[in-house]
Amino acid sequence: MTSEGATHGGTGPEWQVLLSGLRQRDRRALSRFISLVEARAAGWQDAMHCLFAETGRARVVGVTGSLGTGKSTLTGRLAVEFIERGHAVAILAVDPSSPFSGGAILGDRIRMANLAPHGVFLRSMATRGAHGGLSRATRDAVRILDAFGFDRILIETVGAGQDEIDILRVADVTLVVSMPGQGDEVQAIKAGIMEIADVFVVNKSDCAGADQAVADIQAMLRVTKSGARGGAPAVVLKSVATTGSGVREVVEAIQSRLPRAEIRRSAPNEIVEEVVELVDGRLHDVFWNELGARQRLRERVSGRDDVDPYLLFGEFFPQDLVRALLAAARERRTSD
Amino acid sequence: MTKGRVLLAMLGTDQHELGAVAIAGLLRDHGFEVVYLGRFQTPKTILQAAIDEDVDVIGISCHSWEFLDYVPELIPLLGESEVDAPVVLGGSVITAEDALAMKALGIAEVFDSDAQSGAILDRMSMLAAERRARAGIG
Amino acid sequence: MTHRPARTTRSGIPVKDYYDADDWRPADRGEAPGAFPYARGRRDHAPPVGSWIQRELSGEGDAKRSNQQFLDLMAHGQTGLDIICDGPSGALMDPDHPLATHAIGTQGVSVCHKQDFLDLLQNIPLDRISVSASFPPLFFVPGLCLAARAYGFAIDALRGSTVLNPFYSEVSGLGTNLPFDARVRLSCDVIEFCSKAMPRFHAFVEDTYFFSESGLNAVEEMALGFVEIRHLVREVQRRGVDIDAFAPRIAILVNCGMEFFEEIAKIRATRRLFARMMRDEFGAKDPRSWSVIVTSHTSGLSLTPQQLPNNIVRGTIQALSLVLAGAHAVEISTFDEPYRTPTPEAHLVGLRTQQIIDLETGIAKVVDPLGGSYFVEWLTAETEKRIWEMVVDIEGRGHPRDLNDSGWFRRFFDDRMRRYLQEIEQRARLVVGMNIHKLPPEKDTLLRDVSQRKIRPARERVRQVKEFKLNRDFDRTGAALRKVLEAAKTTHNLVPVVTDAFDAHATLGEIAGVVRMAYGEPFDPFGEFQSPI
Repeated sequence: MTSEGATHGGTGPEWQVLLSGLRQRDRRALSRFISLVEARAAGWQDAMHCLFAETGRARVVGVTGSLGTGKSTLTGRLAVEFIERGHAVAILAVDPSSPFSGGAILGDRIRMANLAPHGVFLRSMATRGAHGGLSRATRDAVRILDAFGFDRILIETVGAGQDEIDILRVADVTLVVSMPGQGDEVQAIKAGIMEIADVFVVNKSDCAGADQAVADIQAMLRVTKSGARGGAPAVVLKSVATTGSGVREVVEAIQSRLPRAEIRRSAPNEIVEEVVELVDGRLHDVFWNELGARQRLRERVSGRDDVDPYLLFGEFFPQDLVRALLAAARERRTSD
Repeated sequence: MTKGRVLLAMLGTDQHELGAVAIAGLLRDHGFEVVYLGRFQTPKTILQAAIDEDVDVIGISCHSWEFLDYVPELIPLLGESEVDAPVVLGGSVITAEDALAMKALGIAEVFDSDAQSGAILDRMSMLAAERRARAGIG
Repeated sequence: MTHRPARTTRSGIPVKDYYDADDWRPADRGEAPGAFPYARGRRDHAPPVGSWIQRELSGEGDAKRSNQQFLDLMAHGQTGLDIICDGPSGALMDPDHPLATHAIGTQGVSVCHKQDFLDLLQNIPLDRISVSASFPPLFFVPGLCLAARAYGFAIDALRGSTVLNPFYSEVSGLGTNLPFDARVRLSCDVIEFCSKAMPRFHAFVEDTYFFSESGLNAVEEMALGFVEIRHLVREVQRRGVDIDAFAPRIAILVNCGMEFFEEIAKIRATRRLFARMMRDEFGAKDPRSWSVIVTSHTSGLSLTPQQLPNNIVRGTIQALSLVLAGAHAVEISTFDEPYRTPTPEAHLVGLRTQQIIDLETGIAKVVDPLGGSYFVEWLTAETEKRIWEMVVDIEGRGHPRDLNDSGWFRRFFDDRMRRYLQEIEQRARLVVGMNIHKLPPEKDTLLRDVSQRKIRPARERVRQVKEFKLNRDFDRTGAALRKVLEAAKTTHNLVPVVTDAFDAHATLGEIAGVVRMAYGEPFDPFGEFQSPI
């Protein structure tokens, strides 16, 4: 079943109803819209296309950093600070899917429980197999929230690895959160995400070693390219998210680094990357799942213990891919 | 693709999380996305989360009797807001009579301490799949 | 199908078919009761009767109703009080908080202001009976002091205890929405205050019962307990309090599950570990600082909602192991525990079980009757070794505050909760009536009517507390709350100002709220109430 064709039972999602719900700022329409796009339900690109013209007003803040640095709590605090400054705030909290089961436990609402009275829209997303700290549909969800009218969107990334650089392509400003007393923490920053940060936040700065952590990061900044977008140089700030100390300074650093143009559009090279990703994702689904390539591959190797993966790759890749794509094209023509 | 999104919550001041945590792990290990709300929830906070997260099933773990008073508040509240995710309860404090009363109020399923993982997963899969089909997420 | 018992204990300690002289460390053979290292008990003699404090968990509805419960139990021969507060009080919420409504007085007593403490402890001989409270200590100790003052008892004559659990409370069912540092500080404030003003009171009771009900085994329970004790001891020492000024009043409230000999070994091992630690590591000189008091609740988690009479048997076996291990006070979790806090019927069964063990079996005539058993001595040493290895491992992972903030504790508990239910489901742990030897529901009726009887929430408290708040002299209350706020921002001991605040008609929720504010947190974590000051 292709997503471009008919869906189960012949009736696709009622995109028109959802689009008008979205324009009337109906939160249920908003959250359903995100679910459908996340699931790549039939007609999702058309729906996103309808929305696209209404996007560009929101400013997107990425929050990344290792587990245990208090990232969620800080994100919650930032949200409240933005609200107090008159912004409409939404949060996307990304957590990893299990590579084994595909399931996930999305626990960020616990750490952001204090947001409920403020009307923040908080949506938890599982990575669903994507790497790089975001899920495949995070950027789409940002645009949906943007069109809905949220003007500050905070994204909290998975925060597990060192290569979470996807956030750079989605966020206008990226925060890297760390905490004192963890030498390896600084190593982690150095190894992968140093270059993406616009604002470094040393959280839990009431703990011993905070000034040292700040000095370490500043020392690294002197030798590393930073301020990813070539704008204001990266800055290192301290905070204590549990008490709110330093949060105002972080918000000010963010605000001063946001793009000034009323409508923000992706740069051409970002569009190229995004389309490549979309096509890749779609190809992957079509080939491996919808056209059954994974199943055929399983059958080929089942019961054999002498399979050479390189041989199989060489044989499987061009032939099966071409066959499968031709079949897909034929099916598409028929259904048109 | 996920089997469905499940909200897991505990009501009021009910703080014994053993059941909720175990079920969250079980569901995660079988392909569900669990939005874990944890303790200190009310019908209002569950409603808000159910809307924002667009969950397919709402699961409430009960270790106190607070559910007896909260469920009659929760079900109509969800109805008024057109949240169509079914609500299930789990917990060994729920007696057979309580289970009947809860189902009469609109609770989709009650899991007591005899419920086996397999049966819980089957029922949750079915409830989630039905809801996803209704919502066109499929 | 046959089910042979696993050849390991619940803590995963492998056991052999039998034990003999090769298994008992010769070094331990000279140990005597009442002497260092106290594995064999604190005392070298057994009192003729009532050698341990016999008490049953009580508290339901409002303070007056709970007080009647205490008096009834004392009339039946209970020798100590075991008070539990309800969910809202435990979470430091007043009854008029919207989140409290449906839980007021259903799982313990609802207490929020001075008069509640007075009602709760009326007609109780506070200088003679030990009052053990599962109640946040910063709030119970001032309440107890106010009641003592009202009823003419000297503060320094007060007996009993209040439990501490600052590390694990938030992740094991006693969440107070106070930050980690505040929780540790409040615990230390109470310990420091009592070490000076209440010399007969145990302000430092490490409650390993509560958090181990998350499915922890005996080794994990005591390891986490020791990690907490050690940190608190260091913190109190850092305040300049001499170790011998507070260590004699340290007690550990342990869990007691069904693995009979392991539970006995756990208690013996705990006493030995504690003695060595206090003498050799913390430099305690007073022998009373070396010999820790161990009290216990039998495990509620081990009880089943199926075939409820079996729970009476479980409670009996567990209490037996506690008496054999020399527990200082015992509470039996009653047969109706899977559904509720105890009914009067269950209270009586629990109390009578203790009395039968005490008065009829004669097992308490001799101190440490299992001392010298090859198996028990070997298991004691093995348990001790494993507890200590785990303590070292956890302490090596970092400061407890970081283990808390990074979610390490939380994951530790989550893993054990899952493990526990998996063991039952996969029948790695056999529980009669639950996963083996089941009865069809229609035949499983005995004691069900009693056990499933419901306690209705004491909702009249909502109106009463609202009226109380409206009718007091708020100038005085507000001034007292401001003093708590100011003191909480400094390192002043909070017990005196909190006592004054209760005396000035502040409530538990308000005092907790201003303490949160001092730590930069919102007054009410749920955003329902605004600070009154």
